[in-house]
Amino acid sequence: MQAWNGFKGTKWKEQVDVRDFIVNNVSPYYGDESFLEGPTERTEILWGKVTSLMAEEQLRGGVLDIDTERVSSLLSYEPGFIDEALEKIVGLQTDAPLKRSVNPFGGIRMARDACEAYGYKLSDQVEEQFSFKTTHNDGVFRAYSDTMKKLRRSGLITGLPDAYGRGRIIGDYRRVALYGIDRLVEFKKVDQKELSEQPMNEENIRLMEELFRQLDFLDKLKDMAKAYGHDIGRPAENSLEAIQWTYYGYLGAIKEQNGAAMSLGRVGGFLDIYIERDLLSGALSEKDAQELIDDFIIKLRMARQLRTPDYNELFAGDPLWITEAVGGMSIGGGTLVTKNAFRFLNTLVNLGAAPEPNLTVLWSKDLPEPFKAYCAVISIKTDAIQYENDDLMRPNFGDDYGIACCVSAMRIGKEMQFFGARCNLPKVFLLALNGGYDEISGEQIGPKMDVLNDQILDYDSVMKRFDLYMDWLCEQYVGTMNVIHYMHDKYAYEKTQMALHDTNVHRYMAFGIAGLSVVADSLSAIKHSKVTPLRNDQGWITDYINEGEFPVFGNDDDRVDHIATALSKSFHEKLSKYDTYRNSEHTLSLLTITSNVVYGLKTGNTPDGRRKGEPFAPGANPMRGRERNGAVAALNSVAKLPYSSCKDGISCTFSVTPGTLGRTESDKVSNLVALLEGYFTSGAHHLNVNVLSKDKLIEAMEHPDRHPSLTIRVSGYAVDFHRLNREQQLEVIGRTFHERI
Amino acid sequence: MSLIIHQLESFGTLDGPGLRGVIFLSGCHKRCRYCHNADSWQISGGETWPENEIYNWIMRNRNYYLKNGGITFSGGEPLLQASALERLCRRLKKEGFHIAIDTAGVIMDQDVENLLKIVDLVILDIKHVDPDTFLWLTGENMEITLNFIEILNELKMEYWIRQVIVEGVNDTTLEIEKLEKLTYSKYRSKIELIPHHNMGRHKWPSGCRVKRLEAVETSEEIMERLNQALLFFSKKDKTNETISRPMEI
Repeated sequence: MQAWNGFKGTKWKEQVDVRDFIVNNVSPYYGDESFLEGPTERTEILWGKVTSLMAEEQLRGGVLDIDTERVSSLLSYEPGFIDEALEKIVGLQTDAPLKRSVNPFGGIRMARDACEAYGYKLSDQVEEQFSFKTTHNDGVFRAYSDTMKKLRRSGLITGLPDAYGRGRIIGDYRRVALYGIDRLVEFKKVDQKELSEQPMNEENIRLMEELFRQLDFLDKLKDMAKAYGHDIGRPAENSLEAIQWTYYGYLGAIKEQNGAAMSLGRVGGFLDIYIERDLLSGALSEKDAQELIDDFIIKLRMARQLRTPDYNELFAGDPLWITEAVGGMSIGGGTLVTKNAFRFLNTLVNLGAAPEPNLTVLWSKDLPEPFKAYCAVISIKTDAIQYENDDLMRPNFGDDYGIACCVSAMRIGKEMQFFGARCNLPKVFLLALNGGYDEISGEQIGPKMDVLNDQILDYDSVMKRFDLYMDWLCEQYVGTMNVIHYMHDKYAYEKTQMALHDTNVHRYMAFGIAGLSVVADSLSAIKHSKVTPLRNDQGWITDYINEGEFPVFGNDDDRVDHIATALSKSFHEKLSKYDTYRNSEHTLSLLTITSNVVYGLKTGNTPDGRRKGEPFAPGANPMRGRERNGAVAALNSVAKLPYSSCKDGISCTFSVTPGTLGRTESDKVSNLVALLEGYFTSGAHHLNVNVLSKDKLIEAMEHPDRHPSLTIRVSGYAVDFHRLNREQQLEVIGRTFHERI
Repeated sequence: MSLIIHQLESFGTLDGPGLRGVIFLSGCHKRCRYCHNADSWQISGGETWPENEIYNWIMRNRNYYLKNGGITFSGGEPLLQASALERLCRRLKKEGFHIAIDTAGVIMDQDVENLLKIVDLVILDIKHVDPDTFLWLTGENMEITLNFIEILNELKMEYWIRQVIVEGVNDTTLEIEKLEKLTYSKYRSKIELIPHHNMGRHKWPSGCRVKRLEAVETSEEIMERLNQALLFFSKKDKTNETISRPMEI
């Protein structure tokens, strides 16, 4: 067969096993970036057209156009093009570039509000169609308890995917290219037959129905490609087709679903195998290969979903988290770095810096040194990539995992997660002191107890109280997640993406904490200094007087770092006590996206000295300005947080001024490599790296035209700096920039 | 034993090769007219750290320094505490750290020699190539520093020469050529020119008998010109001999 000609291995031919295909055929690359090619003239013209459309989009307030007449799905729109004659890889979400589709399956109100926010009106036709339809959002609110609604309203748990697609699921889009849809259908039909012979309990019936819907959408995916003139029923036969087929899989997913994070997975090393075969036969030159990758990336940079302004506050900058994992090592010990890893990073040079796709380097101490150096070069140049510890994740997730969203690892095509946003831990803490009362909303939210009556806060009595409320919160949190994901499966099931998974998957239920450093520092203040609570007229504790010094998180001081570590462990243990929907495995992340700003707004004064309304630190970061012992000490504190309890990821954002990294360009590169090596060898999980000065950001805020494509890593993703609102820009500027004094 | 410390820098990228922990020790006899660490002159102004605590601080950060960096002792003048340093450095060498001493080279005694024997690199700061200007700038005789270089050569120690470039003081290519020739040796592996900055101005003690030299921050253009010149003169003197010296521990 032409498609598999020259490919080694047998297991992957007999069953769906992309990993086996990769390890049998990968060409590790140990060299440097000197082989890379710049953009072709065609690429520059095409990209020029796209950038002017993007500029137009910005002028129109962030949305170029909305199709309000149709509901997004695989076959809703005629084929769309930027410039048909120029495009190598084709396929748009709607019939025109950057035109957004309406996706009301998560909830009709969200779709309606989003249209209105940009001056459009959802068509009567769609309104009517959905008046007879139960959305995911309808379902959730049928089952939410009063307490759950309060938790949500008060902002104790925020960002829950109950009004839009949950995302965080990575279809194995490579399967489309390697096997073709027809063969995937055959495999699924075998599964269907097996399932039909199982006892028909609730679980099996659900899976049978899901499988039916998967098969239905595999057909639709094929038809979607056919409209562009491609037969993806058969496997891809060359590099162009492999990229195109993979992209069709992804495109189908983002037409069907508007999940917050719609990651791509780990396609680079897979596609490299096709490119190597074509390079060897002479069918492709290096220039052609880079051109194909550039074209693919242009398509990914154009992916859009329609969001409401509220949503943008939580997830600023219109992100999609098209996360692509780059690099990493195999279980056998060889590297999975290929020339394509370089080509993907090179798109940030050829097309300029941009937040999407969210390129994520899987870092291992054993990566080839020239690759490490090239990553550092790209970080210094673009501030667009993030790093995650492959040596930490590989033992948990094997060597064919991808990253959903920012930091959530999962085996591709074999595991998925139920996304659960995060809870505001400082607010839980304040609620505990006030016996379940929330001073901001003025509501009794948690179980009612007396206000803690300590004259000076006593660590043990505070901890005892806090423990009770954390326990209560965890029970409610698990319950809320169960409702959401039950309904999502029922009313907004991901047909395309799950069709590109094994029929039986392992599921994680991913919980999150925001504001860990605030709580750790508050507890440290209570433990190591004197904290007097101040009560308002009604007797609620609303402020604190601190006397004496206390250690704060971010200084490599075990007295407080242990508090943070113990909190994460304890929170995960508490969650794990409660049963989850579909027996999913409880995981926890320390990640905030940009919601650390909103969370701060909704939280009163805290005993660490943080004032009401002040933003939290992003992710697992120390609070800004509290890292007094330098960059390494700050990173050491973060590295102590236990990945075993936080398997959904521990996010840390690190900014350093260029001059602090070293005097010469080559010094900067080798020092950044040493920094990453030191951090990850110490057991840390994730690092966003920004190499820039505060002055540059301030200038970009005041004069956007001077830095038009300024990209910056914020929290597990990158944003175009100009897409942040003023508060978010100020928060980013207010963060600690490590510099030598 | 203890060391008197002025400041710690866990993310040192400017004082020696690679990423380094930099320990600034307190105390310096010299009164260089544009010292940017004038607050480190008085040994009494420092903090006393037991050797073990410094060792532990370094060990906590070791993952960052072992790849291509190491530890640098700077100051102040670190050689004032040579004996205590030697003990600490012996322990650090056992852990595989690369050790550099950033010094003005104005002290030489048995303690210093013992210390030098176990470190990997000396970063030697020379303020000027003209003896009179040297004396005026530092209050010390240039001969002492030149003798120090001789001893480094005898000990077969690798060293870097470092000079802060101040506009109107040492910013001519002629002076750079002189510096290159004056310090030429197969044990010298680098000359580093550093632009003068004024960030340390506020640290200058009031009522100091030595008046601070007021100078502008050295421009990038000047640095570029001098570095080009340095490259030119170094090429003329290029040597292919490599340094290999058995380490005494």
